[in-house]
Amino acid sequence: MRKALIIALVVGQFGVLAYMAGQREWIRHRGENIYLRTAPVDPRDPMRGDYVQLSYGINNVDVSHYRGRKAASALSRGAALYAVLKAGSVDVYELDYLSDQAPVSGLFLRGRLNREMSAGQISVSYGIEQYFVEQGSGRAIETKQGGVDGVQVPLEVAVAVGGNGRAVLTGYRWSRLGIRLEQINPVAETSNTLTWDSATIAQRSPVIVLSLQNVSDTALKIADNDKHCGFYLQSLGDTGRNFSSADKSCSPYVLREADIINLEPGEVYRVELNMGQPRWYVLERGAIGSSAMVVNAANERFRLVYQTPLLLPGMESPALWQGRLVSPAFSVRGRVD
Amino acid sequence: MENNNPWLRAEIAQWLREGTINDEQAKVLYARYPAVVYPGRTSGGARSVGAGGNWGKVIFAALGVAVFGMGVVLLFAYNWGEMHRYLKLAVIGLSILLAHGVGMAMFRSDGPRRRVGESLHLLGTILFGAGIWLVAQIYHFDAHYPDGFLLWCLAAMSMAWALPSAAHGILAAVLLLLWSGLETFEFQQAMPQASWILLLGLLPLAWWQRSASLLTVVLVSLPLAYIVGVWTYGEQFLAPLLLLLCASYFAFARLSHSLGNPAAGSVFRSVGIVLWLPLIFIGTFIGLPSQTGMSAVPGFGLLQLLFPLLLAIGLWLWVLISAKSRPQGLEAWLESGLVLAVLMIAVLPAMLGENMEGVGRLIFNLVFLIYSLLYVYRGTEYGRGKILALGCVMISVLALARFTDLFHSLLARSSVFLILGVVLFVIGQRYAKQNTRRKLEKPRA
Repeated sequence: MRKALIIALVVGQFGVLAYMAGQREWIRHRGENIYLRTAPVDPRDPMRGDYVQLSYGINNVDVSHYRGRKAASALSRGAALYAVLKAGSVDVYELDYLSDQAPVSGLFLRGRLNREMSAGQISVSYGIEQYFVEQGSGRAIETKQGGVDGVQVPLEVAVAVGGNGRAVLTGYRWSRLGIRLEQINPVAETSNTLTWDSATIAQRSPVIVLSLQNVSDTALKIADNDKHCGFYLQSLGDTGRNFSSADKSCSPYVLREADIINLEPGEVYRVELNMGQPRWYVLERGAIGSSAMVVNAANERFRLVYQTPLLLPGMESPALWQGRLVSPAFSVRGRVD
Repeated sequence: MENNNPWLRAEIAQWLREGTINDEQAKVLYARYPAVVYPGRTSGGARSVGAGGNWGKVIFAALGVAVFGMGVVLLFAYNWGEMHRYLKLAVIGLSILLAHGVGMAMFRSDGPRRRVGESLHLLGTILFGAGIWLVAQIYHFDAHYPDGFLLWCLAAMSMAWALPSAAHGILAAVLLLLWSGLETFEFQQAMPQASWILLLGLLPLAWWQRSASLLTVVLVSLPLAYIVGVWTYGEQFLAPLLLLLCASYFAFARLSHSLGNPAAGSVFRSVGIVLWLPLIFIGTFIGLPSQTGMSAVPGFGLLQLLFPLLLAIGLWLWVLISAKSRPQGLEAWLESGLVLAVLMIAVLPAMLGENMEGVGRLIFNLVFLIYSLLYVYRGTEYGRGKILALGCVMISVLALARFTDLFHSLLARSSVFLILGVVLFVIGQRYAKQNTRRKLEKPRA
């Protein structure tokens, strides 16, 4: 009897591991294969070795993309959430909307709420935020990904998605487009800014130099115009305040033939964006009146995002790079990551 | 039947020293009662190899296997890119089966092979834990990782009961603490269940197995799990709960004879005193704050807070009512009285909402002083140098602590040191005198 019990427990140990592995194998073979774009960093887990920490666009979702039965503010930590995905560029998928109910059809990821909603941002993890690599090769990925001063090239992670929303990482590839952010004249003193006129604001605000580089072996196309509608500001909201762009002249930005820019392999498209210009004024959610970030949001962190313009029905532009490319975060006092 | 062999051999040595028996007679008696402390199996069921006095061997065997297992975990953590995932899974799966298979074959025999068998089972269970992280690594999943420790703990605990194995029980206790600690401090989720798993899942095993090593680990883990479990309800609850748990340990120590497990008594007493004295000393500074806010704690949490109080009261009533466990002699009464005094005059009023910061400090100072004097008395009376040293250190530490708090005049401060110096000198003289007298009375001692 005791022997049988011991054998049962040993088989149980084996069975638990077999179940854990088998479930993922099933998803690898039967699940739908998609790509998600990320921005990696490089830590180490003492139990599992080196891994690349992955951060997806779907990890931090603006409340405007939430369509659940429960109010987003009523969601408690650990609550199950479902990120419904839609196809973006080629096979890179993006968030369509977030819900607290599993959708009956379509492709979706099952995640859990990391913490209660803050500054209009919902933080969700999907269990695919770590990519384990052989010890030492994490450094190679980091090098390729680019340092804070260089061109950063995001990973596009291959994910197999099961019918129940469970996902398994199966591999990765590199984005064809890299991004670099430099900051000119960061602001040292931000007191008494309310007394500044628009000319002073424009003069004393930081200038962001943003470069998009074709890091692939073939030519590709991007799009931008005089107002730089190809870029928009994104607030990180990590101080509890949420900002959006006050200027709506680029909403929506529809692709025009004249805006298409051809980038040969290695070629760079460079823009200088003065954060003191009205095009980059910000508006705090729930507040009245917009102003430059040096006045309104001196302690906030922002990212600049390059986004492919809308293609009207019937428009086609082969080789146009599609999707979103997120810059490192910065504040008016200097770049912070 | 109880194994009284070590006791009997100690008695023979004492008779020899006292001249009751001569060397020849002692040899005959030693031969008749050889130094066997490990009985193998008893009528009460299979015994773990950690039973009785073998706990040093269990600890070292378990440590060796744990270190080896960690080596395996780190080996897999290297994560060879060239190694196919199926091969990695096969290696870990077959290693688990191999370790348990050979362990099972060896565990059926008696003696040293049985111990090796238990160690191999332990290796298998550690490899199972490594397997949990290996599968997570292979498939890159970033789940709620404390769950991995809980799963591993449950596997170790079930093996601890099935084999039975004290080493598995120790592994389970450590993993349980890791799980509850990570949940509390990393994810802000209180896990009072950990204390109950220790109480209901591991303490009975330690008792049944008569395993001093497992019992020690469980008794040390329980207050830690309690701290982690009630941390979120309020820090003011920690000190009284720990005092109540220690008081329960002392009561168990007194009851262990009548419960048929006298060896457990010394473990309960030793672990209890190691936790109790520092708590009393901390109490000399801060007393006990009023235990307000208990009514706001939800149902299961309230049970968690009240359980040590009910346990301590129940056990001490049992101790005092039962003639077998009631203290005998002045020293035993003094020791029990100190515990009961702390409970009745400090802890209980604090639990009922009284602020015992001021009075509590006075009580804890008195109790700590009496303990130190008791140890000095025991040390000098019975010639026990370590106990005497402990008593002297306690007196000195108390004098130093109060020196900064109470005495502002340099004259008063100097007199504290003068008096302490004289007291220590007198103690030293008495110890030397007692030792000399004992040597004269028992020349072969």
